[in-house]
Amino acid sequence: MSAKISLCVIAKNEEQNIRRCLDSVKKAVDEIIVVDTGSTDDTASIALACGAKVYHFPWNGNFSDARNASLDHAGGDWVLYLDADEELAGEESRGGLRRAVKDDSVEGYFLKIINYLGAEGHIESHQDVVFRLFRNRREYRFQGAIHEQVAEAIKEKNVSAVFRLAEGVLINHYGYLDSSVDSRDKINRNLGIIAKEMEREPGSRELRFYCGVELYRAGRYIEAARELSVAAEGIDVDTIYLPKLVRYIIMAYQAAGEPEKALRTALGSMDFFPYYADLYYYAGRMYMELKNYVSARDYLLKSVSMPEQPAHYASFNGVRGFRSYYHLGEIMEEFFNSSEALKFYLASFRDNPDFTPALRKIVHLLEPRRNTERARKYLQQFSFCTPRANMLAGELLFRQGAYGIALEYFQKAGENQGATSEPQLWVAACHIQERRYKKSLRILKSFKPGNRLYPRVLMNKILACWLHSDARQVQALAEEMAACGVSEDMKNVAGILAYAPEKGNRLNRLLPGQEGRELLLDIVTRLLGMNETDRALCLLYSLDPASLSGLLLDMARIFHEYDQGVGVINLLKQKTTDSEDGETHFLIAEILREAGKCLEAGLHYRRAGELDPGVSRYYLRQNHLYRHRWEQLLQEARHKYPDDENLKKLGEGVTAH
Amino acid sequence: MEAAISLVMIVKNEAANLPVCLDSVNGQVDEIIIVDTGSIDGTCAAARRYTDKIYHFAWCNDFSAAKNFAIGKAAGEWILSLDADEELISGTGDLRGLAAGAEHGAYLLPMDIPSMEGSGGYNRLLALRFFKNRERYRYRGRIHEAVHDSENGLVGVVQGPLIRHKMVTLREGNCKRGRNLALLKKVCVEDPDDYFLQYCLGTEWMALGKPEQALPPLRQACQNLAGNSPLYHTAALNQLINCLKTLGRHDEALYVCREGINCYPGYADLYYHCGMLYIEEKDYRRALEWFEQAVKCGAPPALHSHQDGTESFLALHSMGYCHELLGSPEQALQSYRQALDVNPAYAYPANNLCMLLCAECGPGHALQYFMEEGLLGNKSIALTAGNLFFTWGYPGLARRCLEIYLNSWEADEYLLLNLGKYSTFSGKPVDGMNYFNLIPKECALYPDARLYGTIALLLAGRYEEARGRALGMWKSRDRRRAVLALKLGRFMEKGGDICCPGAVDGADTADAAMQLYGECCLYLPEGSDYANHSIFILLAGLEVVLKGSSRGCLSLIEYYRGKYHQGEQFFNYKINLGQKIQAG
Repeated sequence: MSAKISLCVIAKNEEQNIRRCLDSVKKAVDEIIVVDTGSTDDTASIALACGAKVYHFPWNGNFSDARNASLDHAGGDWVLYLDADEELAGEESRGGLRRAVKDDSVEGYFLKIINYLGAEGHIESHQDVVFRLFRNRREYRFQGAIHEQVAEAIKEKNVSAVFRLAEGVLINHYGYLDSSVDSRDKINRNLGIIAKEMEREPGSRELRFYCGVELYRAGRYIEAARELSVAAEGIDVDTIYLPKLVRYIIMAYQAAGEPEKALRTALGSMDFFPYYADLYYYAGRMYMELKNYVSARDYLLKSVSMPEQPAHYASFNGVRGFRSYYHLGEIMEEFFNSSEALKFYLASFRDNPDFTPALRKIVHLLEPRRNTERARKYLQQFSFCTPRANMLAGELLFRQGAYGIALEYFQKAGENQGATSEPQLWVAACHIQERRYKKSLRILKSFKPGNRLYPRVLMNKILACWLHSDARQVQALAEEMAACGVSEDMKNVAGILAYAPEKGNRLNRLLPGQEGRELLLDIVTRLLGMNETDRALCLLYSLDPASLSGLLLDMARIFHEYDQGVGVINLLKQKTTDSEDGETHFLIAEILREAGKCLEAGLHYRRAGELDPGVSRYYLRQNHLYRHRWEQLLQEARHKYPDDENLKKLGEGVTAH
Repeated sequence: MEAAISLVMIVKNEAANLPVCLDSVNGQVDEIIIVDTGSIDGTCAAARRYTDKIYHFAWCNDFSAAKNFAIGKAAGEWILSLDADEELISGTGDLRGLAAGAEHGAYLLPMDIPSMEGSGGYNRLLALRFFKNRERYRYRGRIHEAVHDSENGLVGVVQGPLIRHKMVTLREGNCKRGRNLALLKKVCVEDPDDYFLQYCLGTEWMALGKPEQALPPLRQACQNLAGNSPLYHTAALNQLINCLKTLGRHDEALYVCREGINCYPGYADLYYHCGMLYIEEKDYRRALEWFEQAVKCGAPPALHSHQDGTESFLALHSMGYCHELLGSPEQALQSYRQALDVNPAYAYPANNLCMLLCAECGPGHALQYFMEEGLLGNKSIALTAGNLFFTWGYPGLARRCLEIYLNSWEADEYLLLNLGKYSTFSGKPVDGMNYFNLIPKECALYPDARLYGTIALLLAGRYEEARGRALGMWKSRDRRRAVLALKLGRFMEKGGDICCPGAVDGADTADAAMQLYGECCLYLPEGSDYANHSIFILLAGLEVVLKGSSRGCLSLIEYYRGKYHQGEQFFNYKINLGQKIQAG
C-alpha cells in the first residue's frame, strides 16, 4: 500500500485564497488538515466545503505552535505543509509528490517554489526552494515563532536524516503580489513577532535576515540594508541563505537610492560566488544607474553567460536571459546603435515572449511608420497566435503611427470576437487615422452605452467628427460624453475639441490630471500621425501654462518624432528661460540639427552637456554633428574647387575612413 | 679691508642683454671687466654706462683664451665670472660674505636654466664661477670652457647667490649651436681623452635633434667620467638616458638608470627617468613606484646635475597621469593637486586636473572645484583652466576663472584679452569691449584687442562704432583684418552677399577669419539669452569669407575634422575613465 500524505495548512482570514490552495492538492494528498487561527471570514466554511478537517487554534503570536497544532491532527505517513496563498502547480507536481514519498531512504524534501511579485500587468517571479514535505513523526515539530522551520528540528532528532529535492514538484506562491489584500498588515505583524524574538535571541543572524527582508517588503529600504548588512557581517560563507542575503542587501541599497553601495556589494561578493548570475546582473544595472555604460554592458554580458543557477541561489528569473538582454538593448540605444539594440531586444523577447517591454522597443526601433514593409516582414517571424498577442502588436504599431499594419493585427485579433470587442474599437481608430471616417463611424455605432468601452468609443467618434469638421456633431457628442458619467479629465478634453479649437484662443485653459494628460498625448500623437500639425498645436495652446510646462517635453518629443519639432521649438526655448535642463536643450538641438541649423544646434548640445554631464547621448550627437559638417563641407569644397590637390587628398582620407 | 671682487665677462653683440646682467651685480662687485671680442651692436656703449674697464680681444676661436685674458685684467682678490645672458638673483646670497669667510679658493654657484617657456620649470646646475684671483685658477677648453684648478684643491659649494640663465629661444640656440659644434668636433680630435668634451659634443647633437650621433660620445663620457666629480658624471648620465629614450631603446636606458642608482642612491633624477621610461612602456604600475621613490628621495645633494621638480612636482604630475590610466581618478586628482601645491607656476597639472573633473563630473563641477580649492588664486592656473574651459566651449566658465583678477595688479594685457574674449563669447559683448579697451596702444596685443573689440561691437549691434574701429585698423595698416571686419559688419547689418575677395584678401585673411570662426563657434551665452541670433549671422558671414578661397575651405574642413577627433578622444577618455571607476 502506498504512503499516505497529510496536507497541513494554518490560515486566518484567507477566504480569497484557501480554495485555490486546497483544490490544487485535492488529488495529491489523502487528508487535508486546516487549523484556523481565528478567522472572521468564511475561511473555515470554504475549507470544509473543500473536504478539509478544520480545527481551531487561538492565535498566540507563535507560528510554530499553530503549525504543530496542525501536525497533531495529521494521520498520514508524510506531512506536506503549505500556506493558504500557495498552490501545488499542475498534474506533474502531484505525480512528483507521489514518487517522492515512495523513497524509503529520505526523511524530508525540499520543493521548488515560484514567488510572484508586483502588480497585475507587471508580474515578476523568482524561484526558490523550501522544505515542505517530511515524514510524520511525533518528534518532528516546528521551531521558531516566525519563519518557523522544521528541517533543523528533524536533523536535531535524527542526525542521519536524508533530505532531497523533490523532482517535478512545484509550488506557486502568490502572497507577494501587490493585490494580496492585506500584505502590509502581514508584514507589520511579522515585524512585530521578529522584534520579540530578537529580544530573546539578540545574536541570531537568521532573525536579523528575516527582519531585513520584512523591512525591505515594507519599503523601509535603508533600515533593511542596515539589518541585512549586520546579518552578513562575518558570516560563514557556506551559510545556505547567504546568496539570498547578499541579493537582498543589493536590492535594498538600490531601492534606497544608493547605487554605489549596491554596486560595491555586488562586486565584492563575486569572489565568493563567482557564478551567481544575479551579482553580475545587479552590477550591470547599478553601472547603468551610474551612467557607466561600458562596464554595465560588460557585466550584463557576463550575467547572460552564467551557467544554470543552483536552487538555493534563488536567482531572479531572467537575469541570465530576457532581463539582461533588455538592458543591453537600452545601452546600445544610448549609443545610437539601433541595429545592435534591436538584436538584444529580439533576444530578450525570444527568451520570454510575455516580456512586453522588449516587444515595445522592437516595434519602436523598426520605425514601422517609415519602413512599413520591413516592419511587416520582421514581425512575421513572431507567431502572434492568441488574440491578446495580436492586440498587443497592433497597439504597439498604432502608437508608432503605422496604422496600416496595426489594422491587420487588430483584424486578426478581432476574428470571432463580435462586433463590439476591443479589437473592433481599434479597427475603427485605424480607419480614423487613415481618414476613413464613415467606415469608422459605422463600426463605432455598434457599441452601445453601457459597454465598458463606450467612453473610448465616444472619444473616437468625437475625433472623427472633429477631423471631419462636423462641429455640431462634435458638440453633441461632447455633451453625451459629459452626461454619461466619465471622468472630469475626459469631459474636459472632449470639451476642448468641441469648443476651443482655434490656435491662440486662450480662454478656458485646460488643467488636466494624469488621465487627461495621457489622453492628450494620445490624441496629439494621432493628430501628428495623420499630419494634422495645426490641430495638434492648437491642443497644445489650449493648455494652461502650468500644465503645458509639465507636459511640454513629452509633447515636443512626439512632435520631433513626427518631424514637426520646428513647430514647438519656440515653446521649448521659452521653457529654458524659466528652468534649464539637459533633456530640453538636447531636444532643441536635435530639432535644430534636423532643420539644418547646425551651429545653433551645437550650442544647445553643449549646454545640455554642461547641465547633465553624465549623459553620453549629448556628446555623441554633438560629435555626429561635427562629422556631418566635416563631410558636408568637404563635398561642397570639392565640387567648388575640383582641381585643388589638398582637397583631393582630404577626400581620399574620408573614403578610406 | 674687505677683499675686492672683480666681475669679468667676455661679450660679443650683447647690447640687449648686458644691462640686465650688470644691473644685477650692482653693489656686489667692486670692479667690472668687460672684454669685447668684436661687437658691432653697441655693446661697448652699453657697457660704458657701468665701467670704463673695457678691453678688446681679437677672437681666436678659443673661449678660454678670452676669459683668461679678462681675468688678467682684474685687480680684485676674487673673480666672479658671468655671461651676458646671465644674471645674479638678488637676495639669494651674499658674495662679500662668502669671500670674507672663505674656506676654499673656489666656489660652485647654483645656476638655473629655464627648461620650457612659461612653465616656470628649470634645470639647476652648479658652475664654478667664483674663485680667487690666482694663477692656479684659469680657464681651460676652447669651448664649454671651465675653470680649472691646477693644484686640484677642494672646491666649495654654496646655495647662493643664484645665477639665472636667460631663456634660450630655439632660434638663438640653433644659431649658437652650429658654431659650437664645428668648434667642438675640432677640439675633440685634438684632445680625445677629455671626456667632458665628449659630453658636450653629445649634448650639442641632442640639441640638434640627432640622438644617433649623440650616443657614442655620451657613452664614452659616462664610462670615463665615473669616479670623478659627480657634477659632470650625473649630467652625462642624464643626457645618455635622454638619448636612449629618444632612440626608443628603453631597456638600455633603464639599465643605465639602474647602474646610475647603484652609483648615486637616492638621486631623484634617475628614479624619475625610470618612471618616465616605464610610462613609455605603458607599465604604469611600475612607473608609479619609481615616481614615488623619486618623491621620497627629495632634492639631490650638491654637485648632482638636477632637473628641478623631478623630486616633486614633475614626478607628482606623472603620478597623476599613471593613476588616471590605472583607473584611480581619486588618487590622480590628489597627485595633481600636490603637484600644483608644490609649484603653482608649473600649471600643466591644472590641465589634467581640469580634464579629469570635466570628464568625471562635468565642466560646471570642475570650475566649482577650482574655486572652492582656491586654485584660481594662482594666475597661471587660472589662465590654464580658463583656456581649457573656453576650448571646450564653455566661455562663461572660462570667464569666471579670470574675473577675480579684474581689479588686481596681476591683470596684465594677456589676461585682459582672454577675459574680453570669454565675456564676448559668453553673451556679454559690452563687458568684453570694456576689457579690450583697457589694452593700451603700445601693447603688442593691441591689434588683436582691436579686432575682438570690433567683433564685440558687432555682436552688440553697434554697427556704426564697429565701422569706425575697422576704419581705424585700416589707417594703422592692419588692412587685412580691417577688411574682414568691414565685410562682416556690412553682412550683419545689411545681409546679402559678402563681396568677392578683393586685393587684400589672401592667406592671412583666411587665417584670421578661421581663428575668429573657431572662437565664435564656442559661443555659449549664460542664462537664457538664446534669442541673440547675431552670432549665427556673424558665423554665416565668416563661412562665406572662408568658402571664398580653397585655403579657407580647407581650414574649415580641418577645423571640423579636428573637432570631431577631439570629441571622440574626449568621449573615449570619459568612457574609459568611467569604466575604470570601480566601486572599491
